[in-house]
Amino acid sequence: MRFFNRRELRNDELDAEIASHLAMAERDLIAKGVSPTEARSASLREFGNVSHIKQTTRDMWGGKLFDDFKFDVKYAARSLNRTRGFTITAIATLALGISAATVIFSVADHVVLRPLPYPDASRLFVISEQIKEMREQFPRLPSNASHYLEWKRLCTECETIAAMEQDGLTYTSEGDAEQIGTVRASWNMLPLLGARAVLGRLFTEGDEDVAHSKVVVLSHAYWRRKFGSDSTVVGRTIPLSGSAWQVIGVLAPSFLPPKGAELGTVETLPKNIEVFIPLALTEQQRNASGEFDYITIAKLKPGATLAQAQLRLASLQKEISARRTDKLTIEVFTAPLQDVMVGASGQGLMILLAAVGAILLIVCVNLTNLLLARHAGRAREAAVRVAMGANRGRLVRQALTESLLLAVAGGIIGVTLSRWGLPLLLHFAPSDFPRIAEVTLDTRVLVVAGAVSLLTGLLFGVVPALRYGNVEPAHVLKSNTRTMSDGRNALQTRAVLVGSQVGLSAALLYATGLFLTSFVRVLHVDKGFSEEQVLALDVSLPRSSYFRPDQRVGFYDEVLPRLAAMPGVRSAGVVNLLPLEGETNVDALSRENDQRPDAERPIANIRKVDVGYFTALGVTVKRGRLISASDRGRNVVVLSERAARALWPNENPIGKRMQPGGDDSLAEVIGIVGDIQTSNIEREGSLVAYIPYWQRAPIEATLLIGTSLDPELLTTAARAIIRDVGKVVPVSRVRTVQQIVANSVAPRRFQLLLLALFAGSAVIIASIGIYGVVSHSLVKRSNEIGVRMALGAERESIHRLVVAETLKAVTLGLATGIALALILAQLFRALLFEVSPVNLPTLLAVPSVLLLVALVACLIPARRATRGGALMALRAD
Amino acid sequence: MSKSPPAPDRIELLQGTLDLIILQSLCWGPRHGYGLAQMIRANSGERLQVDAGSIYPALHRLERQKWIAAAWGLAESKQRVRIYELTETGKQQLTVERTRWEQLSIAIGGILAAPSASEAS
Repeated sequence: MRFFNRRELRNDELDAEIASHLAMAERDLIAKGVSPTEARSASLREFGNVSHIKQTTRDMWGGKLFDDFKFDVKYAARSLNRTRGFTITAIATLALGISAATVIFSVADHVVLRPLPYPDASRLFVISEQIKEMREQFPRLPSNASHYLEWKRLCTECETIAAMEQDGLTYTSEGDAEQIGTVRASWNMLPLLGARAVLGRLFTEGDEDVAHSKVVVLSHAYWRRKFGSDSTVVGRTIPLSGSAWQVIGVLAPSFLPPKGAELGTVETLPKNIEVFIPLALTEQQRNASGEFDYITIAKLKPGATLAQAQLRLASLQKEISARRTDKLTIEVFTAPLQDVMVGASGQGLMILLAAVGAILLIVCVNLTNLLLARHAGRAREAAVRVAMGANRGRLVRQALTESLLLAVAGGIIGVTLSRWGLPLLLHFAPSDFPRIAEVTLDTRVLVVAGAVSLLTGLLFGVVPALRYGNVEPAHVLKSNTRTMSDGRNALQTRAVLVGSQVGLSAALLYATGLFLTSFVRVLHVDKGFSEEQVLALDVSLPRSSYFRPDQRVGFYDEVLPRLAAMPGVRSAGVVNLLPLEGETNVDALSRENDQRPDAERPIANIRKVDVGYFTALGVTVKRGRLISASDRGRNVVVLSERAARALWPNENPIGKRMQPGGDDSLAEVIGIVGDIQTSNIEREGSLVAYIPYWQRAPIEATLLIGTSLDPELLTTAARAIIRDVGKVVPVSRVRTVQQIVANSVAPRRFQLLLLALFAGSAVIIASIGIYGVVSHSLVKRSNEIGVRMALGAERESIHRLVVAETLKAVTLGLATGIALALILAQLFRALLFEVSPVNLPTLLAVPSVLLLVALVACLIPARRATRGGALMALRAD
Repeated sequence: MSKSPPAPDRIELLQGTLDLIILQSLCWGPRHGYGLAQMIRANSGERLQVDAGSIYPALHRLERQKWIAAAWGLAESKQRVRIYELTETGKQQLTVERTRWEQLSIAIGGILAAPSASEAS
């Protein structure tokens, strides 16, 4: 502000200085005998052009650019204020475009572009394994404990190697049991992920000693919820799963552990990690060669590369593999933690970012067009100014200032809108979207939003501004511009404007079409079960009361008939893991007297069920029969179709005997059922062998209730029965099977929703743009239209003329846009589901939709132009 | 309105020479703008075609370069005027500009005095 004041002051001083000069000159002339009037004009003549001299003098002060800029801003604001309709339209479209871009960028930036919120995040990587013989089914597995320990000892490129796995402790007090999200973590895992303790301490190496490992670190949220932020909790012991555990520390609230789903398809971690306990490996766990349970994260030594680490680990792995007695080949894989965590979501976000970029471009093209029309209306003003000696550069700068002003206003409103838009978006985002908790609108995002706004202003302002400054006064002032039809140049500009909007919309629509088709295919995929009206309750039986198998069988024996007896219930069943919820109890199936080596036997999920599981989920019987109560006391098994085919490709399996799992006794195959999708709705499921729960009763299981009512209505009653049967059995999760299926398609739905929103806006903006271009050109051609009609042209033939001209540009744009989309689709083909990047229906639908929209958008102004007949058109001037 | 025809021998000021003229004129003591204009006109024998007003952009430029300093004061006629004065750096600059001017005029003089190639042969 002081700057302005100082300039005002200097202006006054300059005025005074020149006034004094003129006064003295006048006085001297009068003294020489010149008449006062003559003296006045003579002194002025001698002095020269006063205002010009003042201006050049002011230019000497420096800050001329700023002075001009101030003037330009004032001028632009005034002229924008005169045309409110234009200004509001421009700012509104810009604001919407910029807010969409800001929201998507803030998500993409936090999820994909920024390093993970862990110290030296770029050096962190995940180690996973693969059993070569099972690579079809499990491309990646978590690590085996003995392998992890060996890598930790011998990998010279690694600074740290840490491991963790899910556990399920229950908190028991006053007869109530609550399952808490538990992770067993090696002592170095928490520091590796940058965790700090706000109270007490984290684990030390000594805590991994099995004898002294009953210590627990609480998450900040759990500490607040369960212990009311009581700081004396550190040092106390709490009862977890029937033992006393000592609380040694509380984590800082800022700590964000990775989620299980972010680390791989088979990796599981609790959704909500509430406590950490030390990874105290027992002798048995250290030597279990068949267990691949541990999520392993390592940090490179400074200077070491991931390739070197991979090489080292691979050579260690070769020795490990050679020592195995089962002849399985075990490979090792490494990948940067960031890549693993962000995964395919990153690619999806990049598509969305490209989509908002396309929208911003369409907005720019549209505004360019609006500005061209606006400047064309002011060609006379510009011509007069140039004729009077205005600097063309100044004209260009003034026009640019106007567009920058629009851009800044649009940017400010757009960023303000995104403060609401972002929470809205996050609300609809799937809950297991990676790193979603980190997303905020922060300085970095705001700076980018500001830069994008200014860039947008330049982009849509530069062509009209150059055109504006390039006015030919002689030409413009001589002719009557309103009645002139456009020259070749303007026609080309119009074709480019229409074509580019259509092209970008076509590309967006095509991508949306591919994702829509994928989504529909996913919804109609044969999951192998029906999700209608089934309630699922997860239970976990505390080892303290249900240590013996017969205790567990007793629980299920009692609870299942009581659940089935509830009013409105079709069937009640049990399974240790639901379809779509992952892989567990994976083992090799063997025929009776199987001669094949272990490595060649088919791998299957062993599921413990009862007949109610099949009926509740509508799994179809293909052959034989389901498990029945009369099967108690003998070993029976039901196989999924593909499991049966893998064991006996050409024979009837019913009545044959096989071993589900290496150490099991032989069981008779009594039935074949349809295949189910085990972990991912978009991938064929694994083989499954079903055995009755009474043969091997699970500690953790899901109870299923098929009903003819709204399943959630049964929750309270079902919980009451479970509490009544098993006093200390916690119900850790309740949901409907429908929700499980919905969750499995949630990321796809979310992405499609956004893409469709963007494509829809693109089409709307583009149609408004075409309408604007055509109606503007028709106003300028009203004279030509009048003459044509006076000479006897039919209205229809004029419509045809206008439509043909526009459609030429539209077709060109369509062709370019779809070609672009086809190239881009090749890049993101991994994100499509059972849809080829070249999809004929979409390829036909997109041009049809856009041609129709373009036709309507250009017919409306064309009809209006010819409505009044020849006279009206000629008189329009 | 009668407009006196420009004297046939009035010449346009050479680019950049106005600075030199102002610095030189201020060498004799502080002056206000009008006084300077009068002085330049008188000293040039009315031969320079220059608007009186055009010294102001030059004055303000020289002031910004700190070669001259300005302050408000009173003229003999009790008129409030802005008075300009040469600074120390201004004096050095004057020497620089004078040397350059002298070299230029020697050079041009030499060219004009040299016999043309055709005459020499």
